[in-house]
Amino acid sequence: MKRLLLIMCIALAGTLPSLAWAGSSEAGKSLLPAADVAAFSNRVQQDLAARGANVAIVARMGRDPSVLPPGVQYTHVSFWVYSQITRADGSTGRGYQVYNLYQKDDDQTRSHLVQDSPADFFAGAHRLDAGIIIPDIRLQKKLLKVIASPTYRALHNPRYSVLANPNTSQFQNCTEHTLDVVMASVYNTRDVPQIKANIAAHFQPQPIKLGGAKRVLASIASQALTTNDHGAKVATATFGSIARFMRSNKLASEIYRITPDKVTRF
Amino acid sequence: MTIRFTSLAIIFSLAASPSFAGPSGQHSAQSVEHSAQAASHGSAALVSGAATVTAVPIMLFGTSMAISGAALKEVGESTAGIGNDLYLEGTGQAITPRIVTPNGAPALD
Repeated sequence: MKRLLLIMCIALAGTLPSLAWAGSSEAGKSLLPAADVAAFSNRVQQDLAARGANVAIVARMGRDPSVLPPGVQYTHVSFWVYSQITRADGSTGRGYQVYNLYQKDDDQTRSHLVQDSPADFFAGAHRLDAGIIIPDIRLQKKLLKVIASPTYRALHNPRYSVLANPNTSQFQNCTEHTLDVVMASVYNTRDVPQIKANIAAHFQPQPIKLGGAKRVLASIASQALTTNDHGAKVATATFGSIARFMRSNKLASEIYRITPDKVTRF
Repeated sequence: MTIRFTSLAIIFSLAASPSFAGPSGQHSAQSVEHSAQAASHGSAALVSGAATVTAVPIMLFGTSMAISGAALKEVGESTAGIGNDLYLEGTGQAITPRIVTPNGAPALD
């Protein structure tokens, strides 16, 4: 019995880091120099503006890619909206406002919606590497309407799971909320069951290979790693799966990756 | 010996668990620091200082866009809040399953 417990604990300690891609973190302490983060966030903003993007889906690499499951590159996704900004001192300017779903610090099974700046967004990045989807201009208009409406908040489910099943509304993470907003925009609806039915019918989530033991141990370690909303197989929404969905349905005009020194098409 | 190993393994596993959930908190102070750094790096997309009061999406389709010199700084939670259609905990109301037929494949008009 003791040996079994020993094996389980070692397995727990050894396997859980491979799930280290929660990543919906808000401006956590960065390993990167703040000046580099700031310069990169400005580079991304200017790149988006140069392409005339009013709304973009931007992903950051919040964890070391070597600990991410196969098929997962980015850990956090948000909407960037070109906006007129007014600061407390009355000064105004234009730039991108970032609309995030962040996991709460004091309760990792809960999330909240937070707006911040591009620099805040990349503050928690492990590597300065952004995945970007610029939606088709027609979809951008629809997205703007939804983001600026009560629907955006209505689509938020604060019950957070790293591996939330996008086909159900039991849990939600940042990528699922992003997908829900995209679907609400495409189908002009805020009806959650309808949105989930459409996701189940048309969206292919990223499969995550998790053995039975790892599933059990993960949910024991943290409720934020629960897979109770999945069947035998675990699959979740990721930046990559959203990009594939939008490309295959002609919902995106550009999908690319930007780093401090280059831009690469996916 | 086994007990010792078991204890160590338990401690190890408990210590490891916070690492995968990631830092989730709202560290506004750090956000301000990053934004301040941004302001000093020329492109002027970001400025430091007090939090953004408002951020209004701009509808400028088909025109050229630029990042202006006094853009954004936001550490607030203007969209954070309670109350949404999905937050059903504590309502005590049974949820009636509903069968929904999906729409056709997504397409833009």
